[in-house]
Amino acid sequence: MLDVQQVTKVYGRGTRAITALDDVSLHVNRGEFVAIVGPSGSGKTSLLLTLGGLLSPSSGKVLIDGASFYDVGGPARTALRLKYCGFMFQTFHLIPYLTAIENVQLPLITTGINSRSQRELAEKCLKTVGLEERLGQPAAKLSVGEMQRVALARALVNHPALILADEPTANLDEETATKVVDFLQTFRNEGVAIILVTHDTELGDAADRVIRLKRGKVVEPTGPQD
Amino acid sequence: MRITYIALKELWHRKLGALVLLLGVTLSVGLIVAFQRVSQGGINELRKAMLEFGKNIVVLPAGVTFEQYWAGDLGDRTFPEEDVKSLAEFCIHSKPKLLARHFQGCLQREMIIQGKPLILCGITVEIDLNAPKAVTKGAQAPLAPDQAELGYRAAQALRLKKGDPLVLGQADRAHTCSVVRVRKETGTVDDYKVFVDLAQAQALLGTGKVVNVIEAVSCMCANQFLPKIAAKIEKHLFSVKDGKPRGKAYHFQAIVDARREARQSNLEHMNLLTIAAAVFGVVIVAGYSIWSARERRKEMGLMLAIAARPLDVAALVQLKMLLLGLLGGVLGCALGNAVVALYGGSGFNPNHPALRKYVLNVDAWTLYALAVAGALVLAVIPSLVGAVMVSRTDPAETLREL
Repeated sequence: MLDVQQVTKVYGRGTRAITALDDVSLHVNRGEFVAIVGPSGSGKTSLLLTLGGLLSPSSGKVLIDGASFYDVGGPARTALRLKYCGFMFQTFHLIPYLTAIENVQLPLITTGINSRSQRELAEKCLKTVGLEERLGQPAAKLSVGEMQRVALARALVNHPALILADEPTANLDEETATKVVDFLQTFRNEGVAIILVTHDTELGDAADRVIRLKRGKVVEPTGPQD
Repeated sequence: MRITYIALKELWHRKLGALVLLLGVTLSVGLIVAFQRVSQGGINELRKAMLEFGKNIVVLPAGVTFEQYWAGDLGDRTFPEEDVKSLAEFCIHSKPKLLARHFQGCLQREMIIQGKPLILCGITVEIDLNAPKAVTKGAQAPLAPDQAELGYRAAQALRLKKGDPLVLGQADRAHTCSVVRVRKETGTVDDYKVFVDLAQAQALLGTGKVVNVIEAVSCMCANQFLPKIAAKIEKHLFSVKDGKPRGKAYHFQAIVDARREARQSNLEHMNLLTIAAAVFGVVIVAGYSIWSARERRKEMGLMLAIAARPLDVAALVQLKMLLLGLLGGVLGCALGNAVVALYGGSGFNPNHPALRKYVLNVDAWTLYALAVAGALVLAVIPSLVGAVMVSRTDPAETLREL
């Protein structure tokens, strides 16, 4: 489903140039749980953003179901992202003045789906992550664990084929982190591909496959596990 | 959920910022409305003053100087009374039509009245040629044979007030009439006049049907044409009869010029202040917009990452500004009007009852509509800076920030 072909990302120019990704190639299938691990500054987040169509590579291609993210214009890329990707971030990135359900509805606002259907979809996702009692709660008043579950529901609401999660458990206690990983595995079992960036090696154990990055290079095998 | 809903929620969430912006737009629009209304009020006040001043062209018999007219001493030189009507008819049938709207004949002469040296002034009923009633101010109201009006100083000298009897003439020509009005002080010779019906003055003075001044009123609108009107009048009425001109027409061009200059100066000052108020508004809106764009960087980065197109996030900013602009425009109109009504005084308040009948070119609703439209432009255009900033937010960059 996701094909990454010789992606290189260089920040800056000349003597100040920093290579964040160096000739990275990988392939991820539907329903596969992939963990990208590596020390700080190894290029994990750059890779995740590149895979999600948010960071143009200096060279190489990112194909999702055969469609190249970076060979199309901005609006088409946004549409591709909306169709295929859901995002989770370490700091959740919820909009504080919107309620839990409104935050989950966010990816749907430009889809043309009417407000009632948007709400139904968002409600369903929040039920899936066990937050049906907190629908109308402003995001700013949720606990940290609840915030991450709202972020997870938001990542799911557009039925993506791929969830990209950047250190989703970094700010969570052990119990909540386990819950979030369990949810991710459940979605993996439903056919959603999960790519998770972490520096937590234990979390990597939950994945089907671990890709290790070091100074922007893949240092572990990148093919799908059988 | 729609973009509009998010814009409204964000507006409520950042109430203080929105209030500052609203205050800025309201103040700016309020000042613009106030300056424009003051400007209009000033013009109308001038118009009122000029109309109340009355005569713009004075026609005097040959041999009488303008200085004599100001002094109230016109000697024995006169015109036949029918010249007043003849002049009025000439003006209305003239091509191009002359703009003098009213003519009034006067017979004025120095006279000892109740022991005081004053000026008796007989006045005809105003000849109003097709002028609309709304602009007949400044013309002399007709007086009945037993009525008199007193100039301000004349009333003081005679120690008379409205309703008091006044005896004019002596012995067999004595005539008693009632004071119907004491005029306001004008600072001119009119303050020393006792106004009566022309026929009464003619009888008291034994002159027969004559006048010695013909006044044309409400030519002020003509502005630069006033000298031409005076010349034409002079040519018509005083062209030769026995080979000599019968008189001369004097016009008050200096007053017209002063009026025009005062109006222009007033408009220029107010326009300058209006521009300053608009600039103030632009600075506030643009400043707020930039601040807001920076404040909402992460939020917009997220929106761009998960769903929205650059145009959507720009619309999110502009919707809010549109709403605040609309509200600021309406509040600004109210504020501007309130300031003028409360502190502008009668001279600058076009709504003041004393000015209403003179208001010819204030269309308040047009001004309000323009102010609200201006407020929308004021809110939307400078905030484009912020809208462009948020639409160009790099989502990858903002999402990496913790």
